[in-house]
Amino acid sequence: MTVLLIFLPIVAAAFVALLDDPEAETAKRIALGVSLATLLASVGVYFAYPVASGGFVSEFKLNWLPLIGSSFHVGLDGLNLPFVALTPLLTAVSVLASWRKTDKGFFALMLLLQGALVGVFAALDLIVFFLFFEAVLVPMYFMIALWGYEERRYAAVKFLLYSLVGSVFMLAAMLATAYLAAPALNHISFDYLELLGVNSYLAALPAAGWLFWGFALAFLIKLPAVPVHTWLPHAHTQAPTAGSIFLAGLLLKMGGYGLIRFNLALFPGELQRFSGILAAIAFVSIVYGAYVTLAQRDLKRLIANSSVNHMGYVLLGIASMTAVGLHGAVYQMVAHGVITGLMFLMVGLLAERTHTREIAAMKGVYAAAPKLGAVLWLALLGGLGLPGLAGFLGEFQSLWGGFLGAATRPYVWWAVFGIVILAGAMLWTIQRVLLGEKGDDLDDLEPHEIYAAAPLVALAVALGLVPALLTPWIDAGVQPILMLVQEVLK
Amino acid sequence: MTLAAIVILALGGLALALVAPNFDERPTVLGGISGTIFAVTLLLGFGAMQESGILYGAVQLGSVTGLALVLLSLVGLLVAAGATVRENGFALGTGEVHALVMWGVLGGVLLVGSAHLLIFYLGLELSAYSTYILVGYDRNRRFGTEGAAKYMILGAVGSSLLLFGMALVYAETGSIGYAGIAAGLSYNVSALAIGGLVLMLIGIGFKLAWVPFHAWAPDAYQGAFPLMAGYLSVAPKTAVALGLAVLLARAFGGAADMVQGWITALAILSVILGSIWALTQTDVKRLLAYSTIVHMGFLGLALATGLLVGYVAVGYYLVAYIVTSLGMFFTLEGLEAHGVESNLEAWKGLGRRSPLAGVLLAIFILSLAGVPLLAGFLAKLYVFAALAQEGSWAALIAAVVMVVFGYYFYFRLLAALFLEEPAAGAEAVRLSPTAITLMVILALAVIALGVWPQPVLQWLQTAMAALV
Repeated sequence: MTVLLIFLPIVAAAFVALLDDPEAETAKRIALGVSLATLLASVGVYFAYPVASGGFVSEFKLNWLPLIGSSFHVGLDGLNLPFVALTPLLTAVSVLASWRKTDKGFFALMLLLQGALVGVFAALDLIVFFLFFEAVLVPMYFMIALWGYEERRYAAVKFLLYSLVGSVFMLAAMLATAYLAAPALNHISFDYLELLGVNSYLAALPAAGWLFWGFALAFLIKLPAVPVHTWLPHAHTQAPTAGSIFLAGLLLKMGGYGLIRFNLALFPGELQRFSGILAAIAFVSIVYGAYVTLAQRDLKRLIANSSVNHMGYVLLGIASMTAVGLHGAVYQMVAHGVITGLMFLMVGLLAERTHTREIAAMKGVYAAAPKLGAVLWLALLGGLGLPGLAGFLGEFQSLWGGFLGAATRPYVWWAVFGIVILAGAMLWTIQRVLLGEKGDDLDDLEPHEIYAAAPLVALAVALGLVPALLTPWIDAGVQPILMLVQEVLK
Repeated sequence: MTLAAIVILALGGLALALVAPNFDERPTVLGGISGTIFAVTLLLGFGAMQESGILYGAVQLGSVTGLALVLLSLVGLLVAAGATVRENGFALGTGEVHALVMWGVLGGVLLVGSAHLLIFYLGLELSAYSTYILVGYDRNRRFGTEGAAKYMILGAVGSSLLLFGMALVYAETGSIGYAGIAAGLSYNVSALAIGGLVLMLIGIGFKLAWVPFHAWAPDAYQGAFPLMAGYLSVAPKTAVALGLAVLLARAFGGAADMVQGWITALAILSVILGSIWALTQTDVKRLLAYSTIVHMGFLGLALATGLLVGYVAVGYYLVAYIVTSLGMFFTLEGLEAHGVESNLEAWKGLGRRSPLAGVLLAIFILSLAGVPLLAGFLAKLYVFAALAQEGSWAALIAAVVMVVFGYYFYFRLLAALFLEEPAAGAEAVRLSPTAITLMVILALAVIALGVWPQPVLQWLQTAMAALV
């Protein structure tokens, strides 16, 4: 099943690219169909997952590069399932959001992204993880560079270079990890589960710190954390709506997921050693991200910058190394995927109508287009962490976890100001954009746009009110890692 | 079996050169003959696995020679097929081109199979002279003669340094057979021997275009027609790289570690400087010349480890590079035949003028850059794995950082293809069906090698085991 979830969209992408379909009429229907089919399948796997016993399901292992000890090993557990299910959902939303596009290539790229992203989350072999981690970049680059806004090429290149710098160091760290762990395993292996078994040996390596930062740099760039976040405002702002949804909803999650999956699980000792630094980075991301959000004039850029703030909570939760904090980090990632995806969707649709992203040029959107205005309103409230919506639970738990962790506690006192500042930014945006007298006439949401927004609205509310939809899965994924961590730290 | 292949190649070249004038009106016949011969020798190459010496032990036929025979015959076969992309054949005779390619391949096989410095030198010169002629073959090209002259003069300098180095090694060890040299160098490498080895490595460095002995490469690439630039980028490199591996394993004995150190230094220099120089190129073939320099640097890094993983990396790198680079140059040839010059200016918006050529070029370029799921990525991965296994962390870091530089200059090509608007009045480009078939096959090979490399790797591992 995992293999199907990865490769069905990729095969479909090749098929769509070869279609003789100048208006992309068939292409977009195939893309929608494939993403919905995989969504159904992954939701099925999600609810069939045995949350009580945990462990990996739908594992698949194929001998691939035996000489260097890498195999095509993928599998699903409580930690990656939420993201594996979120990926086809956001793909379907993106396809609907791009319904007016007439290039089949655009839809092929989306399917390619979907497959590669599921591959990243499901990979249980370091080389396979790297493979998909890189494979995500190419379609994203072209999506921004070909279909983006006015400064698209600059943004695309910047995104690519930042990502590549991180990933080559990660590759070096992966190779070093596998070869340095070889004496403990008696053979060279890039298999995640095998390496996990010898993480106490890894912890004792003199080079452990270097390995840790090799991984961490790639993930902090992806997350993104201040000061390596500067690619984000450009990429998010310049990307087409679908690209922004992918970027914010899924690509950033690769960073947080990687930090938990690799940095925490393989190098817990180093994470503890450097948790002060990570907490400081998280604190700066939260407060600085909120301040920068407050200063934006471009609506899309405003939302992009709020992501820096939101992902700061993720890093804070991880740096705390507590069950609550990690739980919050994962919850926050899923919630951010839903809510920020929704924000970018609405802003994209709004910008299509107003032909500008300038906040100063908009007013009274709610009066002009009540449906669009209402959904955007809800999304912005979700962005500020309103209780009852998904974002609140993530932020709250991350902060609480941060408070419980010794290294993160000093920063939590001040990090809460980030909430206030960001709330200010969001409310002020609501006031400037949505409220006020009706400006120019705007078309309200069309049916396909409502279908695109509806699942995200529903999820944002459901995850805010019924955490049981997500919590048991996160527990099943995070608890085993935490137990391993505590063993190593002893 | 390998012996039969060597004889077939020698006679085949001769026959082609003799019958050629009768068939100049029908270039496909010549291409067919040449392709058939290469197909036969390619299959014969798979049959060669037992180690045996011929000519009083001066040539060793074994698994590595068989490997060279397969790879070089593959190059020959592809070039023979690629020559048909030129619908009207070559102005100065098509048969001679095929004959020269065949002799070049023969020289390469001898070079790898040699167990004696004289045969090594003969093989090298046979392969080099063929390429000198092929580079300058098209007299009407703007930079053709200039490129060939530069290539030949610098090649001659390299050859004479190599020969001088061999003489010094002989003076020290009293032997020019590999086994005798290895015995003579087994302990206490004297200053004289070091001098000889340095000069030999410089000579070989010229052939592999390692920095600082690379100066001829950009001119030769630019001057040659794309098909021959493609041949130049893979055939001599394959032969010399494998020949150097054999030298390291069988001839240099106790001095091998030292030579490996020098190779690492040259390779790092090539990777770093080649990548930096490539950033400023605007002529596609010059850019690809620097790309070759960088690739040979990566290959040298793997070669210098002396580990089985390293040798497998060299073999896989060569296989990946053969299909990728030839695919790239064939496309260039097809485009030049339709009046699209090989420079970034003419490439603007090519992806719109010919979507198929654009996509195929993108596959080849991404493979050269080393993007996952394509052949070029696994080649680099194996190089990195060899470095990690050897514990050369500094070289590993340098190599991975330069991969980023590589991405940058390869993405400039992609940007020109897809992100720029075509010049006003530019028409759609329609490539010939032959060209398209050939390119599609190579593109599929690039993808297949990147996704399911297992059979090739297994074969390489068996063949390369003879070296460790």
